[in-house]
Amino acid sequence: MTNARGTRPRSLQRGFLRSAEAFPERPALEVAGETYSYAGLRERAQAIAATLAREAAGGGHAPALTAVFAHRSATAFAGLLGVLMHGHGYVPLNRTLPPARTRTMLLRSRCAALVVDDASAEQLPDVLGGAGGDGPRVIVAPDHDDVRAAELAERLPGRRVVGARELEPASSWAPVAADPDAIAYLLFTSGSTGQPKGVMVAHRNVPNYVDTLVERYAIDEHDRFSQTHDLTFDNSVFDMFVAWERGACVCCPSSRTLINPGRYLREARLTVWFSVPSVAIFMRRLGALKPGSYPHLRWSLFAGEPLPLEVARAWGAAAPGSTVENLYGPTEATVDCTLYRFDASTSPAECERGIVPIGHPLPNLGVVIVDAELREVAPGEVGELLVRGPQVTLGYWDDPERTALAYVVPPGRDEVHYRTGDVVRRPAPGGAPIAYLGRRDDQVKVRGVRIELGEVEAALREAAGVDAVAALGWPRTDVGVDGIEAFVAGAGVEPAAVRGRLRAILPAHMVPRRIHALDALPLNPNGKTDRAALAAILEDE
Amino acid sequence: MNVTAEAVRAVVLDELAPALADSGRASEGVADDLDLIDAGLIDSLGMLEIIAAVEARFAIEVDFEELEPERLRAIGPFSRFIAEQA
Repeated sequence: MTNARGTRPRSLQRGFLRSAEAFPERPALEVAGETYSYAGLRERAQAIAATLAREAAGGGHAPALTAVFAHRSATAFAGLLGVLMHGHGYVPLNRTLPPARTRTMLLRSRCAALVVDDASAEQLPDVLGGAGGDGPRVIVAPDHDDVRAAELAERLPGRRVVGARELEPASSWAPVAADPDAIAYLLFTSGSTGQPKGVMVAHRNVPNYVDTLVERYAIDEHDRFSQTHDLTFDNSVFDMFVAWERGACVCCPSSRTLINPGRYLREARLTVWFSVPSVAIFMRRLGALKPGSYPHLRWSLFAGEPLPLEVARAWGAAAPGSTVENLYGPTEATVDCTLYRFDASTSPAECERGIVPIGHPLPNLGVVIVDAELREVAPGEVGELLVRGPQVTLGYWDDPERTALAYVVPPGRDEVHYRTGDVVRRPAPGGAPIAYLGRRDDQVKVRGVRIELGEVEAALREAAGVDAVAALGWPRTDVGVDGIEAFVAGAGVEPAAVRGRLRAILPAHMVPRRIHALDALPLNPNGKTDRAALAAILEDE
Repeated sequence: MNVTAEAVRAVVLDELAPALADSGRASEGVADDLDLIDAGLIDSLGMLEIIAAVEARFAIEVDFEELEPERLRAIGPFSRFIAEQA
């Protein structure tokens, strides 16, 4: 695999801006029933960028980060481009998360300004709290007319709300020189100690990824991309920036449309599909993967969690004109760092435990599979996957300790490697693919989203007011886990009330489906919680 | 096991209980045709969890080939469909 342009640093937004020059009238985005041309989307983004520049002029703005609190709207996409065109990194926030969690991310990232869309603004007072609170002083609300902007300002005392009419004209935007080492986006992922970790991705981390994929998939201005991922999930970087690099259209469905992914695929006439395997599993359950259903698809791409062989096979038959690929990578190594081309006749022999391999590293990246002392294991042996190269990111925001633990220089090497925590088998020589086997820690994935069980347990302690708690990935499936269940020790604990309090702290996918109250948690001989005994309780139900 | 639409409805409401509490709705007040997605109670993949919970509770496996996915979105049609299949 090669990519012709290599890894020349450039800004994340440059591809979009070049396509806007080359294809001003072609569609860049479809969302909420509207189509936005490249020129139209650029104009909206420029107005937001120019407004952010004007509002920042008077005051200090130490961290070059701006939040985008928007979801499946034109303002979500224009907002994020506007933030980048203002020379800032974007911090995506999502109103489907509890306001308390959004508040934590906002305060942690110290954003001085925030761009909000129509539907998310309703939640802002809950997120920001009362007058004189911390958080962004400037709220840019491009969807708000004068009346609604004034109403919003009244509910956000001490903050400046800039509505549609106060936006700068797009023409007053002055391009900002790109710093390839600056943060392009800051994404929060689950953290084992109870606080989400902010992964800092620099502009220079992204070109290797984007260039590799636009060339591999021969993307052009006629392609139509799915957009199933929330902007808080880094798979969305593919959806947008791989499409925009070559003038393709990003087709963003509403949450309502996504209940029927098959219809979305057909009606949006998608040519490039990218989702977590859970969506394909869902479609298969619904009978939406009948052979030949999606003849116009060119590429069928999956990432975020293990891809079952049977699902890849069924998808391949449903979209016979497409090639199925399985991509793999942590946010810390910029979206995806390995990939594997699925072939219905040859791949089954390469699957381990019914799971499609994660394949080979992207060009210019290196992987090494190591033991606990970070020494390379022998071919055929199992170890932790380490990644090096231009996609390895800057580390965790405001957290040098955890950065030092995860971004390491292994003995005998001279380059920083990111420790993925993923357990894989080192292939035998001769070009065999890497097989994914699981985790070396307590991280689980539910529907492709990373969850540290330690973070769930920290929230449980807070919500239940007891120390002895345990969270388990449950039920277990062939490919991992399907959800979370929890145990708390204490006679007076009311599971329903605890679960209700957790909903205010954790995103929905991290809230245990059931909480079991026991008199005491079983302990193993070392005095630690006996997780196998807890699993046996669930198994026996 | 005899799976009735009422029993399925109870399991779905149990799954939705925290989201209902969040949105200030009482479970008795969930109309048969309330669109669970429009009401912000679940997203599409959340539906998978509800299906999994229903299947686990009644030890059944449901074949959705015949169901219009749109009918998943409201509790009444969903519950009746499962009961017919079980």
